[in-house]
Amino acid sequence: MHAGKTSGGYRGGSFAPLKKNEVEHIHSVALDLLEKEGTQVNTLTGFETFRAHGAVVDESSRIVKIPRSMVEDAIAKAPKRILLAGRDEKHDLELEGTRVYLGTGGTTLNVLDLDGIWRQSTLQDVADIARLVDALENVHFIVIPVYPSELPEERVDINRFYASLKNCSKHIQGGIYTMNGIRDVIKIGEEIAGGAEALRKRPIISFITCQISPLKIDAHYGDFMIEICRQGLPVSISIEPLSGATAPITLAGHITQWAAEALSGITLCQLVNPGTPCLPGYVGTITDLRSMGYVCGAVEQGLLNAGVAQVSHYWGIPCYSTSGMSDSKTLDAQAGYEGAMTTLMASLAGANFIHDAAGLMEFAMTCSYEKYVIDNEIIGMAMRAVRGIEVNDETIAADVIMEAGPGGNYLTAEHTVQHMRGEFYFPTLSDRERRQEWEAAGALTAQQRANARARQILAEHQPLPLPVGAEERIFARVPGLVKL
Amino acid sequence: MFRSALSGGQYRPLSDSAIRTIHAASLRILSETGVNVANHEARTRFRQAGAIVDGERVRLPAALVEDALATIPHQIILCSRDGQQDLLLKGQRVHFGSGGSPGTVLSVGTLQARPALLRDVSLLAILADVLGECDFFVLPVTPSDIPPQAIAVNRFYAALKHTTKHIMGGLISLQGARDVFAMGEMIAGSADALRERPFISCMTSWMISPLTFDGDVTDILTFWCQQGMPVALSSAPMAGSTAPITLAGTLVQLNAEQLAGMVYTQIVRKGTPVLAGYIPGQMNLQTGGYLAGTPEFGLMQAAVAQLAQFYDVPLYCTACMTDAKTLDEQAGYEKATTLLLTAMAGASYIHHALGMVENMNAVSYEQMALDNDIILMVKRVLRGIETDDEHLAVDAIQRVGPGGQYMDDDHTITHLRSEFCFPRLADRQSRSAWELAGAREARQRATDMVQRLLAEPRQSKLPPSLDQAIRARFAVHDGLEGDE
Repeated sequence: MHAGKTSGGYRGGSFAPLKKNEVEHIHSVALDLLEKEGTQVNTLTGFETFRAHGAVVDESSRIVKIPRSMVEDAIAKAPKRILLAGRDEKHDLELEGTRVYLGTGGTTLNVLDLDGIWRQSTLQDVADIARLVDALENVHFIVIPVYPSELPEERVDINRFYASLKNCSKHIQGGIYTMNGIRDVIKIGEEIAGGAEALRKRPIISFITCQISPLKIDAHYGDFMIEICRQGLPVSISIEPLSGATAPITLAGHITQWAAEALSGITLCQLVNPGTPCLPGYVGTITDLRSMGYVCGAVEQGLLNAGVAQVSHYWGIPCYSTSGMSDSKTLDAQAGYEGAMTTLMASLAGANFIHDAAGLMEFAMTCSYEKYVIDNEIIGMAMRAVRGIEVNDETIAADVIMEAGPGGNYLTAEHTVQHMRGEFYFPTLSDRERRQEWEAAGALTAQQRANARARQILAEHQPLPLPVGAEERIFARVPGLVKL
Repeated sequence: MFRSALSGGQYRPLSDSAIRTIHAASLRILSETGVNVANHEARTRFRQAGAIVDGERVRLPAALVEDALATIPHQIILCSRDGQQDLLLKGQRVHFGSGGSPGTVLSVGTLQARPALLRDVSLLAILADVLGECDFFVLPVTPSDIPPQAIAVNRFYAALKHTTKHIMGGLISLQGARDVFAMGEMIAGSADALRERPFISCMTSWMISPLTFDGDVTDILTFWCQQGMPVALSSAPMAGSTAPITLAGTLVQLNAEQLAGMVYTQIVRKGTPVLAGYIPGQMNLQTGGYLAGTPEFGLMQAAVAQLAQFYDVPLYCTACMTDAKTLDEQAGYEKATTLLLTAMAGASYIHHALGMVENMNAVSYEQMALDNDIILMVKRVLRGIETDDEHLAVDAIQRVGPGGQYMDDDHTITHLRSEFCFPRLADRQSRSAWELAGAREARQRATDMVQRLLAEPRQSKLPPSLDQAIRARFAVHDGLEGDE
């Protein structure tokens, strides 16, 4: 790990629930589905794009059957390495292969604040969470987490992005609500990055659009996808198959359908603008069949994300994945084990851009300030696991062992001093005291300690300022921004 | 009949070449540096077998290790008393159970720490007997109300009276070992019958790291091996104090210690069923104490699963641990992290997996119930993603088509009970339903469950006449006499 850098970027891949031939089979079945059954494309521009390039289309049903070769072409053209830049270069994400980064997710309408009050989220929350995340060493990027309930829709996009950019020097990705929003947000990005070309070269912002399961590209979000591709900025294509509702109940069927859906989106992006950076996105999960409700903390979600990451690795295209959520309504043991399991599995599998991994609780309906601090720890631990065990002459320490000998000790060995800082992850939240000391310090739970750390960060942390003059230029160029 | 067990191995932190490197370094340490053996009898056995003995130092040529690996069993059956819940330890099959044995328990409901009593052994056995994911019972606490010389036999008696699952425990003294074996003999009918179906076994901490045989415990190990009973070796070097600070270095030393132990057991009695007992530990750099809930801890447990598989010997190891003092979110994420890593690597016999908190310093009834859920989830991960045609669900995807839904599709109905796991304590309700039910945290729901289970009518697992005979021969009781 380099000093000053975040913990992101280590390579996963040590966990592989699918065998290589199984991945190939899923890929091949997905291509068959697209060629023979097709997908529904409700964006007119998208539909016409597919038709113009020779896909078999049906006007009345809007079904597009995509030839195998067209998909294979798109896979070949899609970038295998995607830079998602930070305002501060040390936060750059270099998505490729099995490199792993984790960050926040959204978009919720509620927050659980540091006074324990559950309420509607505001633009101030967007700014505060961005500043909190800026200081959390293991949260590698922001996916804009909350919706400012006090703003009219046409002012939401610009304000969400601006408040996030201003308060955090990590990469900012977000969902969008209006076409004008996309264009204005890009203007904001250009002013900060130093021009249109500079932004394309070092995209400090990127966008999320979505497809609808099963096998449908929506008119509204499909148009957004096309616009973002034309603008040449990175786009994550979020797809949310739900086992038993909008996808087959079996995990393999679910992944297969997702693969077909993701390939249809990638193909459209590459037809619109060959070489444009697009991330096949996965936010699927299962439904609890006792209530037919959506669940987020299910361990199956970890398996699904790992499988999806393996399929993406097969394509060589960096993926947008999901982990770390919980169904718990409070920050209890359940929230801990549910979040840790899916985050660990997605990370070990080598998913590239894992969002939702910090801050979300209650089926991803609420963002919790305390949970950002807790998840920062969970991600730090997962990244230590991803880093794995280095085995070389220096680390196996045979000579050190022989020198210590039977009954010896290593406390004062030179080897110990040399490696004591680099070998272990040092927690920022977890309690490692003895019971007496823990009790003497107030017997605080993880949640209480997280509350204290979040308060301290929000009281003290100052993000990297925007470039001189950028703020004035942005306000001049983009009306509707709120000054916080 | 064997308890069902799933196989790990989907996660491999060490490459094949790293495993060979560790193996070679361990052999070098055993032949060049060797181990200290203070126990005269053991040293004599080593000399007669061909080891090079110099004072207390015993050096083991590689050939001796090879001999041991040639006679050590590759599979072990740890029996249950009802014959329905035997454990087949073999390959990458994974089992989960309790562990021991601190002198502290957390009281049900209040979670206040207090000294453990013999009745806790009984009550925890009752709980372990009914918890569905608990494969075996390791005697979990050291009772404070029993004189030291009577602890071994009383603990085993209390456990034998209240669970038919396989019971493993420490024997504390040679006399304790003799008494426990004699009690087993009475229950089985004869020594041969007990050897034939060993429903009890022991672990021995015969090794004081680094590389030193404990004099007294080696006598217990020798006695137990001579009886032909299954034994788990246990050595727990701590990275940074009693082992090199690097993970790989700790693994090399631990591997050397385990190989020395395996050699010894096979010298005492060829074919003795041995669980290699790799317990790699990590020092708390702040306090010098032991750490248990760390990602490095989980990584090392996963690595030793690979080492045991390399030697094709069943493995006894540790996971589902936490350094938290209470059942908070930290307990959740630390337990999930360590257990998932260990189980996915295919560890045979994971003890400490139910009930431990505060690393190994306390047992909590509620935590046992929560851990049962964590294990259920981890087992779902081990089951993985089935990819046969039925699970790939291509027919269902085609039948439902773009924009359709799966809820009432036959494929959904067929798989809805089997494809997902259903944790018993996880809250998956809406916030309003959860609040209506009292807004209870996971640990409070666990309290409800524990109280309900312990309130059920108790049934002795020992026939009355046998029970009487045992009590006539040994001064034992189960601590529950005052109840009802």
